[in-house]
Amino acid sequence: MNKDRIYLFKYAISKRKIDSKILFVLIVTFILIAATTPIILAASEDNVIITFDPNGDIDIDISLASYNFSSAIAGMWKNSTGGVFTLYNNGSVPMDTQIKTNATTDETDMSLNASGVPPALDEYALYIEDLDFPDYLTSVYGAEFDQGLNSLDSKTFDICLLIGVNLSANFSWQTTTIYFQGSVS
Amino acid sequence: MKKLTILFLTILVLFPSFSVVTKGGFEIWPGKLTITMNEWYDKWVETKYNKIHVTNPYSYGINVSVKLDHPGAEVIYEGYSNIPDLSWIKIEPLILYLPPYSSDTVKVIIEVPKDEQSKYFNENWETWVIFDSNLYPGGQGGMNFKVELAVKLFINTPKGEASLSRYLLILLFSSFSFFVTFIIFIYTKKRKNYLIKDTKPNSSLFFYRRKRF
Repeated sequence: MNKDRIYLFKYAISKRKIDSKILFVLIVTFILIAATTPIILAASEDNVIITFDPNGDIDIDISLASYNFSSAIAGMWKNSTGGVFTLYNNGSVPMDTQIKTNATTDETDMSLNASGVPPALDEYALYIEDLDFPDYLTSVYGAEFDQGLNSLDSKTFDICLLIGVNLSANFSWQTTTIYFQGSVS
Repeated sequence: MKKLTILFLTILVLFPSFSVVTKGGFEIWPGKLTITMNEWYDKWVETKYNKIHVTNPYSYGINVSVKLDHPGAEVIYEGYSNIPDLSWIKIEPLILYLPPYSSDTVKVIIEVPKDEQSKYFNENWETWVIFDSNLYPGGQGGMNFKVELAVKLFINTPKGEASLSRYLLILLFSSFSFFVTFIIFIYTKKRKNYLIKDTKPNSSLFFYRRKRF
């Protein structure tokens, strides 16, 4: 009789163990599902495909690095002549080039006029010639000035400056920067 | 004659220093990077190819800074448009120091906010990653030149709602887990029955079982 009691007790214990096992399995299952779901929803090489041009090394250079127009007469074009500047493509693929300049001179005395009409009071215009698409410079990158410059090829160009007839003062030295941006054709 | 030769050699040595060139000062690769998303995701995880390599081929160290910009309407690829928000693209790091003759990479990470994703299925965006170095001769003349290099970044968004395959995987995994749980449950139940069956006829458990069934 005593043995039976012990057996009943053991049976009760084993039943509780079985219940706790089931609970444990359910918890483990839930944890596994919870842990795996975010991995499936994260970016992976299955749902993000990245492609690139293996030969697309890009590098452009400009010569000269700076230029002085010296004194310029208001209302008259002053040009660098004979292809003073050179655009180089030292990359491994054909390149397109965009050009822009600052909206004012560094001294902020004069403003850029990019419309092609004669510059008004305290304005100046810059014009690029001899590249594929000669045009006035603007203060944002727009259409390309040159397209498809081959790898290790170069091209010469000139820059023209026009200062407006009307100036509010006899300005001294004015400086500005011209930016060249190269990208794959 | 000897003097002339020395003069000629001196000019030859000095000549390169007169020819000042504005250089990008570095090389970048690749020039075009296309990221195509088959499905939206919640978080970007590391992939193998979302990197742009920057090389300093010179004998001096340079700083390279990186920024993002929309290409102008005149130069954007046909069928592509500007990304609605540039902050959805992250570049890491934004400033890079390259020691002489060294290379490094910057990572391009695309993270479209979850609440915006449903608005932008089947979109083709073009953005430019622009690299600029401190090799800038500024202040040398009335007009100074600066060179920037741009990597064209193309982003293609998912064509439509997430395909069933993603949910199929979750469903399969859940089914498998429940199946395993079920098997374990059956096994433990059988074991319990085995324990009851094996009770001795003269034990009180035997009577308990007989009373019950």
